[in-house]
Formats: sequence, C-alpha cells, structure tokens
Amino acid sequence: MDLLNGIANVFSLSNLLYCFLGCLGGTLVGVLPGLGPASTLSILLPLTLFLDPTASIIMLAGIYYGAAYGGSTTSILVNIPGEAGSVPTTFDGFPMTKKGRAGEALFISAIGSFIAGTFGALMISFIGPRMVMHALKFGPPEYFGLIFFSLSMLISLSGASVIKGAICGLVGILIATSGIDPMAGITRFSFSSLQLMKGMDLIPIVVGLFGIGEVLCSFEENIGKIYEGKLGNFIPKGPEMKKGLWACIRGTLIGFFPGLLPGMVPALTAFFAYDLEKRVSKHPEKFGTGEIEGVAGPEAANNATAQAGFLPLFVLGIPTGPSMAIILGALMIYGLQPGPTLFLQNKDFMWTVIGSMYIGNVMLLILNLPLVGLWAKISQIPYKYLGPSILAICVIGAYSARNTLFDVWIALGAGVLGYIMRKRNWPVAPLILGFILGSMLELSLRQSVSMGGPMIFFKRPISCVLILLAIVTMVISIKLLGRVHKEIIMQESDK
Amino acid sequence: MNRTVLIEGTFLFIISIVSIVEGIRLVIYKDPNTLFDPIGPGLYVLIISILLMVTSFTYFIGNYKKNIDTKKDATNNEMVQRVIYMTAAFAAYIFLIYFIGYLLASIIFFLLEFRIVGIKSWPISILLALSFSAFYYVTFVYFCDMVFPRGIINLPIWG
Repeated sequence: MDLLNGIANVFSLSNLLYCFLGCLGGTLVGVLPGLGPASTLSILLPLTLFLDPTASIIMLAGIYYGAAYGGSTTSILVNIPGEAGSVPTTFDGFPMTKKGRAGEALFISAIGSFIAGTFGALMISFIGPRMVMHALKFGPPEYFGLIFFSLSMLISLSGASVIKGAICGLVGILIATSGIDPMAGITRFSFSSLQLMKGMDLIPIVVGLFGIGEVLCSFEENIGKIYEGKLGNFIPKGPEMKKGLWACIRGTLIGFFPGLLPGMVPALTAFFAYDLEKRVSKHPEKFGTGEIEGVAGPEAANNATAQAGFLPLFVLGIPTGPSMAIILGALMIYGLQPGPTLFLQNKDFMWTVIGSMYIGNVMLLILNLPLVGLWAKISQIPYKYLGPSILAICVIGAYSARNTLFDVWIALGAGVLGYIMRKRNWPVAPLILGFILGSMLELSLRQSVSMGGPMIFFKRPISCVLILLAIVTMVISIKLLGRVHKEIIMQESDK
Repeated sequence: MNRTVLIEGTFLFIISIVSIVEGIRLVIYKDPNTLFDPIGPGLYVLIISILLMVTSFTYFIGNYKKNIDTKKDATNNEMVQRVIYMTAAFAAYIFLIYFIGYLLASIIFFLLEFRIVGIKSWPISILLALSFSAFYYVTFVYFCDMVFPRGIINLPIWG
C-alpha cells in the first residue's frame, strides 16, 4: 500500500520532470567516458537545494542509476568504457559491433539494465531493509575473502595463457599501490613527484588501455569502418534473445546481493557476472569474440549493484561509494537522518523515492531503446573521421577524472601499452581487474591482520569459506582451461 | 633466442626490481607510529613484487626458446609508422593544451590527425578540424562546463 502511494506521488508533474531530468542526465553522463556520476552529482547538489527534498533525491538517484545505463553505449560502440562498471561489457560488446551486431548488443544491454533496475527496486521495496542488516556481518576479513575469491577470475580472463594473465594481474595490483598508502599515509612509487603522489586513477588507465589502444590497433589494421557490411537486426532473435535474457537474470542476482555490501563497486560485480557467464556457457572459448551473454550479464550486474547501493544508504546510512556519499550529503542537508527510522518517520518521502525508481527504470528503457538504431550507425562512420574523434573523447575522459593533464599523459601511456599488449597477445582484462581489486585487497588484508593476526581469516567462517572456495575455483579453472584448449586443438586438427 | 620475449622479460624484470627496492625501502623505514599495522605499506608491495618476479621469470624460461615468424611486409611497416605518427600527434596535443589552450590545441590536433589518416586535401582537413574542434568545445567546455588549461595566451574563450 505504501509502495502504491509512493508510485502515485511520483506522478506529480514536478517529480516526473525531475525523475526524467535525472535519468536523461545520468544517461548522458554515463555515455561520456570519465564524466562519472559522482562529479555530476557534486555539481548539481547545490542546485537541488532550491527543490523540495523529494524531487531533489529523485533527481540525484536518477542520475546515479541512469549513469549505469549509459555506460554501456561507448563500451559497445567504440570500446571505451563509459564507467568502470562497463569495462567487462567491452570484452564482447565491441566484438559484436565489429560483426555488425551493435544494435543487438545495445538492445540487450538496455533490457538487462531494465530487468536489473526493476528487480533492485522490488527488492528495496519488500525485503531490502531486513537483508541489509546481514551486510553488517561483513568485516575486513570477509571483504578480503571476497576479493581473494575475485582473483580466481584472473584465470578465466587470462585467455590462452594463465601465466600472462597472472603477470598482468600482479602489475595491476602493483600500479594500484602507487600514491598515498591508505593506512599509514606514506607515499609509494612517487619518486619525489607531486603528480605521482596522487596515485593513479582508474578512468585514465581504462580510457587509455581500451580506447586509445583500440584506435591505434584499428589504424594499424587500416580499417575503413568498424563494421563494413549492412547492419543486422537490432533485436536479438530466438536463441540469442533467450541466452541474453537468462544472462540478464543471472547478472541481476550476481550484482544485487554483493551490491548490498558497503564499498562494493559495480565494476567488481560486473566482472563476477562476466566470469559466471563464461563458466556456465557451453562455448567458453567463444567469449571475447561477441557473445551476447558477455554483454547482458555484466550490464545487468552493473545496474543491479547500482540499485542495491541505495539500501545500505537508506537503512544504515552507509554510502557504498562516492556517488552515494553525495546523496547521503543531500539527505543530511534536508535533515533526513538515514537509518531504520527513515522508513518510519519519513514514510511518504521514502516510498516516493522508491516508487520513482520503478518509473525511472521505465523512462530509461524508453530513452535508450529508440536510440539503439541511431547509436548502431556510429559503427558505419568512416574510421578516418571516427578515430580522431575517439582520441579527442579519450582526452576529455582522462582529463575529467581529476582535472589534470597528468592523467591524459597516463592515458596515452596506457594506450601505447594497450596497443603493444594487443599486438603481443597479452590480456588486458586481468590488468584492469588487478588494479580495481588491488587497493581493496590491500586495505582489507591490512585491517584484518591488524585486528587479529593472520589466523583471523580462518577463525571467521565466511572468510574461511570464501578463501577455500577461491583456491578450489582457481584449481578447477586451470584444469578446465587446459581441457578447453585441448578440445580446440583437436577440433582444429580434425579440420 | 626469441628477441621479443627477451624484451618483455627485461621490462618485467625492471618493474619487479624497482618494486622490490621500493618495498624494501618502505619495510626498512617503517614509521614507528604504525606498529598497529603488522604488514605495513612495504611488506605488501614486497610480496607482490616478488610474486611478479617469480611469474615473469617462469614466463621467460618457458618462452625464450620459442621461435616466432619475424617476417614483416612493407604494408605493415607503413601502418606501424602511421601509429607512431598518431601517438606523436596525441603527445603533441597534450603538450599544446598546456601552452595554447584547449581550442587551439584541438584544431591543430585534428588537422594533424586528418593529414595522417590520409585526407589529402588541405581545405577539407582545415574545415573538418575547425568543425570537430568547435563541436567538442561547445559540448564539453561550454555546455558541460569543463575547465581546461587556458594556455599562456590566457584568453577566456580558449577554454
């Protein structure tokens, strides 16, 4: 009943308008690499003070989950992730574009985002507050266990050579240690440079490795267009649609529940989902060549995590990331104290915001689906015009992370590295995963050992199970990888 | 011996050594106020670096004797040259933004890039460079309010 009242409240003109503006703004922000929702939220926060609290939070929330929708567009079309959570989407999204299936990729991405967003809103409505209390059981040892488990993904992302994947992962972890140490405040790998003291940001590295690296490779291959032929259907048909939808459902579940944990980033759950899709697929060797599950799963997970992040915020007052911290700031400015009492004392406000998430997801679907055909045509633009444009976008994306040209130099360096890695068949994904996991791994490890020594991981059941599961998964993955390679070699020799 | 694997191995070896040295430095000069943290900023880096060295060495040992096809055709060399020019143009772009501001640097960058990709006509290259730069400037600097360095000329319109 409260939910229905909340949805009814959303249908006031002002709430609908701000919901739309938030979704539109979020989508645009998500499309542009580097312009993350956090910076947009921080810019718009002062402006929302002139609005009533409900409209303000509706708009800010719309920007946040809208950005998760939009991040897939450039990932699929030009191999530049719009957000960190869209990195795994590039692995199969861009290959689909190169096969003329950009429309299908964008379509399933929009559908997956809608399914995940709506599921998230449903969970928030009905069982979220009870579930999020369990998230408090996760302390540093459990986080370490979860991240250590995530390292098992390095194997499946390594491609043909596990050792190359391990090396890239370790390099990524090392790069993540640069800058100021999170616990002691000591600088590492700064070499007396003020710029290096700030450490490395994810966005310039991602923009460089994926965007600039891909452009350099494409120019070397002298391609005329990303896709030369006639564009295919924009809607996946039959078995492809079925595979995509199932991947969306799996991705939603993978993304939502870990997303309840404070500090859980959408990028990590997106990688989880990609890894899961590869494991459950009958043809894991085809991943990386344009499999629809490789797009649907990570995108659904990305959006589910974005949606799930609202629960710890509203129920516990714990923001799951910088964007949520800004929304928390907005709540506090309006005198709304997050916590269990928020649902009791400000019932109308809470259910209206939750109701707006349903409406917002429908708006995002309506905004994105009609544009699929238009976006897909980008793959038909001659590359001699498109390539330089992409490089210019990479400059903007890398610069906007921290408003410093140093990040653009980092992006260029990463771009050259990405180019060389592609030419020499070194996998790029483990390096990015190592970088994302690196800082979280170190912080949770050091906090845990400070709390109770190295044995703490085995004294806490959740942590112990996760670490053992990680070891078992790594061993199984290595064996399965060996079997897949043997089968491929046998098939090729039969031909 | 496989020359490429040798270069890769050397590069990884250098990274490992630099990281190990940094790790040892941080372990030795550990701040006494951080005794609550047994691992500290150095030990973690040291362990990862050692792991990197071991895996790099394993890779090198497993691959340095493998032969690769070293034939390169003339077309490939030409395209690689194009990649080098594009990278140099990109580096020049970043450099120029700092000195002459975003708009002027973008115009020069696009002009260079269009010439490199093979647009032979100067009028078309100039027109395209001006159009693309104007589009990016209006979209990102004017509408999205991004603030780029103005350069030593320091006129407000340069972004």
